[in-house]
Amino acid sequence: MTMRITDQMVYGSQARNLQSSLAALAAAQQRATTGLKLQRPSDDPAGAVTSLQLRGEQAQNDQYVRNITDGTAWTSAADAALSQTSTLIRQARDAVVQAGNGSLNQSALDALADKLSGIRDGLLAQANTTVGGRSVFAGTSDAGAAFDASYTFSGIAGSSVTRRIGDGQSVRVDVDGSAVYGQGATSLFAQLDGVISDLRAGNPVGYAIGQLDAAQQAVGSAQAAVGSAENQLAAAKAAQATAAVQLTQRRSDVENVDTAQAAIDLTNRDNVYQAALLVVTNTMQTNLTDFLR
Amino acid sequence: MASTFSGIETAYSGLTAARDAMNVTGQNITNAGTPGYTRQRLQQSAAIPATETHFASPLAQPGQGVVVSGIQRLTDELTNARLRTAQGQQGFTGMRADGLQTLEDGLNEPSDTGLAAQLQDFWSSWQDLANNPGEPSAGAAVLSDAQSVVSQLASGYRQVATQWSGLRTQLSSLADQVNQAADGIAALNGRIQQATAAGASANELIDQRDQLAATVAQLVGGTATTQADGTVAVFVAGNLLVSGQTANHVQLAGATGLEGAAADPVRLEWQAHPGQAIAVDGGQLAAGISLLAPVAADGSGGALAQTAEAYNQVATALATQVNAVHEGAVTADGRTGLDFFAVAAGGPAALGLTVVAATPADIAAAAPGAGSLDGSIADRISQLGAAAGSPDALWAGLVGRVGSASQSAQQQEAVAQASLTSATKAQQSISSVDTDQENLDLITEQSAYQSAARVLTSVDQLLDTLINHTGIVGIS
Repeated sequence: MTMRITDQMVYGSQARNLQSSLAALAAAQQRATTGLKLQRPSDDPAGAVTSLQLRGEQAQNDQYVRNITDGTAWTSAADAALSQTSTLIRQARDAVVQAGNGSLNQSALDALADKLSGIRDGLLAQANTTVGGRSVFAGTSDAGAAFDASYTFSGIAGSSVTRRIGDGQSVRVDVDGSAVYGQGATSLFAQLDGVISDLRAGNPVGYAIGQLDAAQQAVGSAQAAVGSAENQLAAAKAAQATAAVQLTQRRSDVENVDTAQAAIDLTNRDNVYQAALLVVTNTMQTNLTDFLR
Repeated sequence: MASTFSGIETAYSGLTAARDAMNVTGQNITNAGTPGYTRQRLQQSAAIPATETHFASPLAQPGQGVVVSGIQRLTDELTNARLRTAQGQQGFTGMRADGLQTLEDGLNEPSDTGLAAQLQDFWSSWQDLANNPGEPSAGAAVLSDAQSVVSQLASGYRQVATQWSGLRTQLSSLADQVNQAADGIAALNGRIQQATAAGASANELIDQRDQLAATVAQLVGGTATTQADGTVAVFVAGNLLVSGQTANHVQLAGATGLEGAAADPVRLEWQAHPGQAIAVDGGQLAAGISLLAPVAADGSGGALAQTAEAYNQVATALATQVNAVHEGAVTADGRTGLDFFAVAAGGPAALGLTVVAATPADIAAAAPGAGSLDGSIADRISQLGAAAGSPDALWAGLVGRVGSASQSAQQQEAVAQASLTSATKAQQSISSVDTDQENLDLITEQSAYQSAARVLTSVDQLLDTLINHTGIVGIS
């Protein structure tokens, strides 16, 4: 049986079609103006979960970058302090070698002792280098200085300052001051004090060369460790920069519309709606009563 | 042999029939836009000859004109039933899709301000504290971010609870509407029976009753069947809502708040049999009751209660996981074994979650014996969010589940809407008014009236000839 068409059917379906056309147009406008295809989770439930994960990873990534910047400040400070320390130890060694040259009189030895005393103060200052108020060589201690006037080391054995620079990846950014400078009576500072008093007393100080060489070696290995940490930080920074771009890209794939597509879509929907309006205005005007006389 | 005057009667029956038909057509045209109106048609048949012809007089006898036997309602029970089923489906899916959409909008995800972002900020602040332990500003940031998460959880939970109570109130008024419609159908059953018994047309009353039956279908998915006596019986979940002139009332029972839903689930019951739930399987009430259902262990409970429960789970997981690590840490002033979060016993965890640490000094960031400026524990806490079973993962899972449920509800609504459209079209094709057709009918009826009047004139002239001019041939 052919379907009988009635006025209510015609007007009803025209109204429904106009409504759905307009709804599609509104949705296209919303997408085009916000640039988002993921307005609410039901638009794409799997995409919504992915988006949450990507946002989480992005936040973590931003945090890693902050950690790396902070860590770099520590390693730069440690590196500078160690270079300075190395220079000072070389100067001390030169002075000791000079003192071993038997032709020097006591006043010259006193002058060398004065020089060594200055070097010792310089080393102590380097050993107490701080970053943001925290000691580079005794990172987890709140004593304020790594070595006090009696050369007691305030650091805690086995503890370290680390920075998290990636998933499950941490790097140590401080240096164990006791490994570089020793501590208490056997510290580099106490050894220099011994050399200074021997010089003032006119005693031979040749034994100190071995001590200074050992100290120089300790500095060298600490520098190697800091250098490797700096490399790790730099590599991580580059990796995080790449990851940031990728994460933004992936999040955009999930959340954002293709602008060109959205614009075409919008124009398309707009045309459909206008055409629907035109059809409705044309057909609704005619009726049998128009032709009856 | 027909009477001399029978032609007048024939013409008169034609005139009245045409006039009645024009009245019916007028009724159709004026109700072309009335919702639920069913088009009518005058039922007429040719009148048989006045006297039976018998063998003795085999003369041809014309009929006696036209007989109007009634006004027919052009409808089809099957199509109407199909429309009601579609309306029940549409009521169910529409209500469910609306409820779930409101729910997912309340999650406010994915966004820069949702709970996921707040949790991420919270973990990041622990990382900053790990970088700068003992720094009061870093500690203060941890505390304020913790406070944001706590209040976000509480407000999210309250939003769900508010939606729950709002829906509960709405369902109560829907149950009242069911009762009103049932009363209306019962009353119309009586009036239709009376009108039919008196031989009057009950078409308009039947239209009204059909409208009410459609309302019941949309509200509770009730089915209506027409009985032999002209009344309809309306069934809800297999039991009679309306039978003859009797309406059985329903009522919404059960908890009035989200917290009581588990002990006393919301249900529809017969007022005559309180305590027994009706297994409503269609319409808005069924959808509403399914949304309000209590939590089920396998996650198949009502969407609102499951979401509220997920807020509780996130709150509990957050408190348990952070505390487990925090308790093993030392504060700057040497205290250990401290909790960071607390969950009040009894009541929903999302509302009972509080931050125990009052000042930055109460935050333990250091591992025991590793120095007071150690941040290794803070670092461990900052990594909790990325672990399996973390509050973040629970939350993302919830967003995914609510999103999927809402998506499928929207798809089902679209399907139900399409089937309602097709059922409506089928019903309108049979029952609604086509003004073009009515106009044509009007022309036919008008010319029938004019022609009947012409017949009358002819008979009149015939009689005139017979009475006034017969037998006067030649008389001048």
